[in-house]
This record gives sequence, C-alpha cells and structure tokens, in this order.
Amino acid sequence: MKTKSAIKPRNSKIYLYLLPGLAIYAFVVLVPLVMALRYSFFDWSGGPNMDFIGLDNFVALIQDDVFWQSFRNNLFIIIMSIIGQVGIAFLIAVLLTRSWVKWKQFHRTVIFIPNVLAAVIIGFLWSMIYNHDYGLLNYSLNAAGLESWISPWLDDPSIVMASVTIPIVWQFIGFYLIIFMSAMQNIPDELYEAAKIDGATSWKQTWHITMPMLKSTFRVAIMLCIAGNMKVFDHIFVMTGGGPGSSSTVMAQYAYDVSFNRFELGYGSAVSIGMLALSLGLILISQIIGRGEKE
Amino acid sequence: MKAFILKFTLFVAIVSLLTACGSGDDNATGSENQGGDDVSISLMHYYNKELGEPAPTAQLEKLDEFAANNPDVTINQEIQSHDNYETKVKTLAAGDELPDVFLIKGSMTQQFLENEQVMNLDEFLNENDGWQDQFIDGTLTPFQVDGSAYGVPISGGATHIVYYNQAIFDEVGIEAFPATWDEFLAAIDTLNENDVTPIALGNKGKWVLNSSYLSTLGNRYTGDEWFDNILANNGEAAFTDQPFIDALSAINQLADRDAFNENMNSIDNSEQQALYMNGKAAMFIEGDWAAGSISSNAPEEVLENTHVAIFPAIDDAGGNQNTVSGGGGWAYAINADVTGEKLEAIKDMIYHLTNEEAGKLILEKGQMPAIKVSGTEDMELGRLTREILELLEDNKYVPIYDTILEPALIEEMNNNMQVMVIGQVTPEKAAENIQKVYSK
Amino acid sequence: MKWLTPLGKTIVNILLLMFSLSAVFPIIWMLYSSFKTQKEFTLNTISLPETWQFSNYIEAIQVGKLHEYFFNSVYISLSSVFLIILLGFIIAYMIARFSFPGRKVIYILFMFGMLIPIHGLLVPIFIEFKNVGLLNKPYTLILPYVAFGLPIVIFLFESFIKQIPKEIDEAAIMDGCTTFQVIFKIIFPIASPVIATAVILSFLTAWNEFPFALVLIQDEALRTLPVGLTNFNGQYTVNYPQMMAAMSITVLPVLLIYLAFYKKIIQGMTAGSVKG
Repeated sequence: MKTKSAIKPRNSKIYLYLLPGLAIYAFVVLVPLVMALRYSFFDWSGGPNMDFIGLDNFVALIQDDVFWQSFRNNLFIIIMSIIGQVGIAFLIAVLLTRSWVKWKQFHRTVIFIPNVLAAVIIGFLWSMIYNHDYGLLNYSLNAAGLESWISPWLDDPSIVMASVTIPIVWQFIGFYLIIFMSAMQNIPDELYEAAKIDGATSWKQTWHITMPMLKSTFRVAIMLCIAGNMKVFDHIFVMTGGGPGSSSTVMAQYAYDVSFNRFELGYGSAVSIGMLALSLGLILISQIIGRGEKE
Repeated sequence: MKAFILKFTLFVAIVSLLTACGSGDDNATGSENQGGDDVSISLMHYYNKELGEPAPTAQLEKLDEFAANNPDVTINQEIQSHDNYETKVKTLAAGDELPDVFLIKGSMTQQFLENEQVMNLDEFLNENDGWQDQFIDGTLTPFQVDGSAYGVPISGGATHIVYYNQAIFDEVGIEAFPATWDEFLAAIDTLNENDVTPIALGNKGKWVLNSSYLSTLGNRYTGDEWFDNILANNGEAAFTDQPFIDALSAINQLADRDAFNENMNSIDNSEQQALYMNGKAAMFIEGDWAAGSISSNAPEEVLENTHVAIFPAIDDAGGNQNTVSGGGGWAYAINADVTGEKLEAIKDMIYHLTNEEAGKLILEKGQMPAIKVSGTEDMELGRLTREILELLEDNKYVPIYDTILEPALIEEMNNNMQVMVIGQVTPEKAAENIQKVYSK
Repeated sequence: MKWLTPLGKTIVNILLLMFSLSAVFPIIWMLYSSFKTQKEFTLNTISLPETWQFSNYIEAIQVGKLHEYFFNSVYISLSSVFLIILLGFIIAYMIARFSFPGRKVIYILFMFGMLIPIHGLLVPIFIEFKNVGLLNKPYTLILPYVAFGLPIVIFLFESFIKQIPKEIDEAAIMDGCTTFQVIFKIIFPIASPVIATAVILSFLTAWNEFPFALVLIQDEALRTLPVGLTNFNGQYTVNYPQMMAAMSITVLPVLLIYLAFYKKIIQGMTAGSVKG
C-alpha cells in the first residue's frame, strides 16, 4: 500500500495541501464531536444547568432496551442493504455491459432517479403500496390468488422491519449503480481483450477481472452502505413513525427523540456517541473480513 | 515551490472571495433589523398564513393589528413550520439564544423553568382586571409549575371529540349516539356486522390514542385526584392502580371488538379522517381542530350527516363522567432576560393576542380559544364549530396527558398503547411498563 | 458454456424493465398528484386529477417561498460542491499517493464524518457557531455542507486514484509538471467519471440538506428550499398536492445536474480512458 516514490513532495508541502479541507472539517465535525463527547458525561436539558454525572449516561445506555432494539433494526437494514443495494447494483452494472440486454440507455438514466426524491415521497408512496385495504401489494396478492399472503405489512411487528427495508434498498440501488459504473471505466479494456482471446466467457471475465479490479470500490460501497444505513430515519418515520411500539425504531430516530422530544441532551449525546462507536465497530469488522478474503 | 505558493494563494483567494461576498450581504440584512430608538421584539412562532389553520390565522391578524396600533414597536418574527418549531426552540434553548417571546407546550414548561429561561407570569396575569379568571378552567394548568404560570395559552379546545356519521348509524339501525358505554360497545358490534369500520383510527403519530382517547378515559376512571398525585409524584398514585388499568382496558376492549381499522398503527390522523370522509368508517375520534378539515374536505353527503359527541358515561368508573380532555395546546412564554420598556411592550402584545377579543376571532375562525368568550349566540359560526361549542358547555376539561406529563413517560405510554391495541401486551403489562418509566 | 438461455435473457430483460419502471413511477406520481385538489388527494391518493390545478404551483411558490429561497439554495449548493470537489480531490490524491506521518489518522478522522449521526451534532455545532459568531450568515451553511460532504468524496476519489498507475504521475513530473498541475491537469481528467459521480452526490446532499438549514439560519432572507418545503405541514394537516408541486419544482435542478453529469459517467462505458 505505502509507496515511496521519486515524485513525492516534501511532507510540509503535503500538509499545506491538506490544510484547508482539514481545517473546515476539524471546525465543523471534530470540535463539535468533542463537545458532544463532553455533554455525554452530563445530565443536561439544554440550558445553563449542567450536572456532571460521570459515566451514568453510558451505564443507562447499555441497559437501554430500545437502544439495542434500534441497533438490531439497523443491523438488519445494513445486512439487507449490502446484499440488496450493493449486490443488485453490481449485478445491474455488469448486466448493462452485456450486449443482449435491451434498453440500456433507459436503464442507466432512470435507475438513479429515486435518489433525487425526498424521503417523504418515497415513504408515502410505499405506505400506499403496503396499505392493508387498498394497497397495491395486497391487491395484487388477491388478484394472483394468494389471499393467505395478505398481511398488514406495516402493522405487524414481526414483519414490519422487512417491509420498511425494501423501499430503502430499492431507492438507493441507483446510487451504488453509478458508483460501480464510474469505477468500471477505470478497468483497462486490454484486460478484457486479453481474456477474450483466451476464450473466457463474459461471466468468467466478470468473476476474474471486474470483481477483483473493483475490490476497493466494493470496500467503499460496503462502507457507505454501513455508514448510510446507520443513519437512516426519514423513510421509516414516514412509513411507521417507528412503530408499532418501537418495533421499527432505528438509532437515528431514537437519538433524535431523546435529544429533541425528551430534551435529554446529555443522554442524547451519549446515544449519538454510542451509535458512532457501533458504526466504527461494524466498519472495522467489515474491513477485517474484506482483508481476510484478500489473503 | 513558487508555483505552488502562487496556486495556493489563488485558491485561498477564491475561498475568501466566496465568503467575502457573503459578508457584504450580511451587513445589508443586519442594518435592516435595527429600528432606531424604538422597541424591537423578537418573536418565534409557527403560524403560517397560507395554511389557513384557524388559531394561527387569528393570531397573525391580531399581530398585524398590534403592529399597526403600535408603530414604535417592531416585531421581528421568525416563522417555522409546526414540526420544525419544536426542534428549533429546543436548540435555541440549548444555546441560550431564545427570542424575547416564543411558544411553549405544557410539557416544556418544567424544563425551561429549571434552566431559568422563562419568566413567571403571575403578576402579569393579574395586571389586567380579572384576566386570569377569564381563562377556561384547565387551560392554564399545563403551563403552571407549583401554582405559578409561565405561559399564556392561546387556543384551548378539546382533544376528544367523537365525529360520527348519522347516515351510517341510520342505515344499520342505530337511532341516536349511544348514551352508555355498553350501548357504545353494542353499536360497534352492530356496525361490524354491517361491514362498516366502526371507528377510523390513525395512530401512526402515536399521539391520537393518548390525546384523544386515554386522557379522557383515564380521568373518567381515576378521577381528578389521582392525576394530581401523579404530577406531585408523592407516592399516592401509580400507573398500576386499578382505575388506570381499567382505562387502558377500555381502549383494549375497543380493539378486541375490532372497533378500529386493521392498519391503525400505520396511518396518521389525516388518513383516519380520510377513511371517515370516504364513508368507510362510521366514526373517528380527534380534537376540535378536525372540524375544520372535515368542513372543507369532506364530500357533501358526509359533512351533512356529521355530528359530534363524546364518549358516553361509563357505569362502573369512579370519576366524573361529563368530562373531556382539553386545555391549552401552545402558550406564549417570555424570555426570563427581558426587562424594562421591552417587557411592557411584550405584555401589551401578548395581552392583545390572548384577550377575549382575540378569543372571539379564534372562535370565528373555527377553533376553541383558551379564554371564555361571551355572546357566542350572536356570532356567525360554522355548524360543526357551534355543535362542538354547545357540546363543551356541559362538560368539564380534564388534563391532556401528553401535554403535561414528561416526554419520556409519554413516549412509553404511546408505544405501549400501540402494541396493546394489536394484542402484543395486556393492559396490565402496559401499565407496568409505564409505571417502570414513571418511577425511574 | 452458456450461462443464460434465450428464455433466461428475456426474463432478465423483463425484470430489469420492471425495475426501471418502478424507478420512474414515483416521480410521475408526484408530478400528476401536484395538480390535484387537497380534497381529491385526500379521497383518493393514486387517481389522476379530475381537473388540473395549475394554481397549485403558484400557491406552492408562495407558501413555500420558493422564489425567495431558490437563489440561496443554488448559491450554497454550488459553492459547497465546488469546494467539496476541490478540497476533496486534493486530500484524496495525497492520501492515495503518498505516505506521510499522520496519513492513517487523517483517513480515519474523515471516516468518522460519514458515521456521525447529524442530529447528535446539531446542538454542539449550533453552540460553537454561536460562540464564534458564524450563525445566520450567507456563508454559514457552506461550512457544514463542505465538512460533511468531504468524507464520501474523499473515499470515492481515493479508491479511484489508487487504481491509476503511478507511472502517469511520474511521467508528468519528468515533463516538468508541479504537484498541483499533476493533480488537476493529469489525474483530474482521468478521474472524470468518478468526479461526475461525486458532483451529483454532493449536489444532491447539499440541495436537500435540512437540519442545519433549520438550526443555523434565522433570517428569512437566508433560508434554503428544504426549509420552505416544510411550510406545507401544519399542526394537524398537510397540504400534499401543494407540497408535491413545490417538490416537483425543487427536484428539477437536481435532475438537470444529474442528466448533465451522468453522461460523463457512462461516456467511457464504450471507450476506456486509461491505458495501462
């Protein structure tokens, strides 16, 4: 990975280049992060009165059932998304290089479109699809003679997570698709040409050339997937409000509720720090798995 | 290296240019706000003229009137939409940047007071003759801590009104709105037998079951004293007390009898109205504000047949039965730091916005004001508004749980009720869960 | 070896088409719903409008104050995207190409940025901005947009630049290019597909950003579109048709940016740009 090279500028020069970006970043992200870390040691409802309570907030966090339930919900969304978003997006990206696939231009153009729409629109539309009485889904099941499959998709705590995850996966496939499409252009054509001469089928080329060449893109995509899905909130809020009960509550909604509905800013900060720690943990795990495969 | 420095300076120049042209604009807007020697009041609210909601529209008209009468007072309004208002006011509070006058909900009073950010308004409420006594019983309560008031309420309607479609009742053979709880349950069975959803419920926002059902039922079973004890946290009352469990059970009873549409937890209050307006449900239960959207959006044949009622009396319940949950929604609070001339101007303004005259205007627009309004007989009111007004005359306001109790407790209550109505927890277990958070 | 029979290919084609159509439907639904009356929408959310209410658009602009906020959004989003791409590319290049003390730390610090729940930082950022007097300025929002936009583009750029053979840089240096020239004259053009992706993503994020716009700005004159879009939510009612009219207007610039830049992404689908 690390490279010494003749063209390397002096370190001082490198730092100078990094400075403007780092400065803005430190000011907007790192300083407030430290402030949030500090708040998490206080009982604070957002005014001049702050009581230092040590690690109490974190002790409460570890015993907080709703927090852990929301974490499990996030985990579920992440796993589904890695398979659904990254997986399907890659598949489509590959398919769009195949000669027998029709309407490529149309697919390439429109698959990204859901990304530009607000979560309210997506959430609202899917609520209608799931609606028990006149929703498209139950209607189709009925028409297909599958009456026994008809369910209250958003009202049954045991299936609600699956129901709310599908729209999220669906909406962001286009996002990963353009990431893969842009990365695939960086793969030298010569590799494919050489493979063709060797008589490799197109799927073999995908397996032996595209996949390995996109390794770091996969890593970035999975990381974005984890990072993005640890923060999802709006869609689910529009569809279920986090219910029934707290069965579809995710961490970001919980952090928001604690800070802004309950007004417990100290504990809210602890929730946010907890989220950050768990996200970091997940990313580390994914990186270790990724590295393990390489060796 | 030289080239690098050149380019870097160039880059810095671009960045500073971007920010510099910004600060130019800033000066321009800054000077606008300074109005010479006059008093200038900063006010944050969520009133949006264009949405046409009754109380907010009335408040805006009164604000304009006040501004016209007091040319020496400048009011700088920051307007946020309702949902954002709450986030914003709490962030401002956290940064100690609250405006001079702002709106608070009952449940915020305690916290703002603890942080010494709101002013005690007892004196102010007594400055104008008998003003304090003009407020309808129960509308000031949410904004009082230890007997002192910290907010002046604006509207104060009921959060529990049963809207029902008489035509559907007629069709299935229910002649009048049930007079007892048992008859009410029987009516639900009758409606179900005729394939009509008895009550449209949209509890996705989680507050409907609390504001519009439990607050009224709770008081019917527990009486007033129980809730006072809960608030005082004196150990005399608990959520596991039988009367409160009975109140939860009453809601559970409705759910067990399929009184609600199956997707009650995934549709919101406007969708519950939609079900009703489409004639698919015979009733829905919401606050007095719903009269406005029914009047403007319901098809003619539904609107004509819509009447209002409250839960009928419950035989074996211990509290008063002519009660309905209601009282203040939002109230004006004054920043604790305001003094002198400015404070006087603010008091004038708030009085102008919340006195009987203002109340009249709110009522005319179609919402219940927090202040008593006399001579309503001669006023021109919408049919539903008048029906609600008459209905409320015979009934007493009791506290709305979710405007008074602590938010964390409300959250637990709301979550438990959501899972209770789909049979995931029993009323007893729900009560236990609520008590656990309460006693924390 | 045949992986897919002709029948299989047809099925794949049909599935893809269905997926693509599902991707277009929401925007079409939003468009036609924006012409309905509130009453029509309440009574039937999926039907076509009976009469087309063009007045919804005029009202939407007034209620959402779109005409006032539009310029702010354009100015803030474009400035943010410009800075994100510029700063992000430099940082990504340095991290991808050179090893220097602190490289790993900087990389990890930027990774933090992608993971931070924004609502958790809202209050600290508000307090910090208040203390240094940065609230409510025309450039206020650019700072958080750049800061939170940087991480994702840095990761995209970094992983892309790593794939570009180093010999290209070396050759350029031999030819007398400075580092700055190497970055922007040599590598930047090669990276154009991923830059196009980054432009689309960061514009989208800045254009739709809401929590900071709500909290850090007080002045009406400085507000951005997402805040205006919430004007359609009352305490108990939402005017959906007007909200969708407003959203249709605000989504337009994003679509334009997308269509303009996505060509860059796919243009190399036929002709590879790097010959290594």
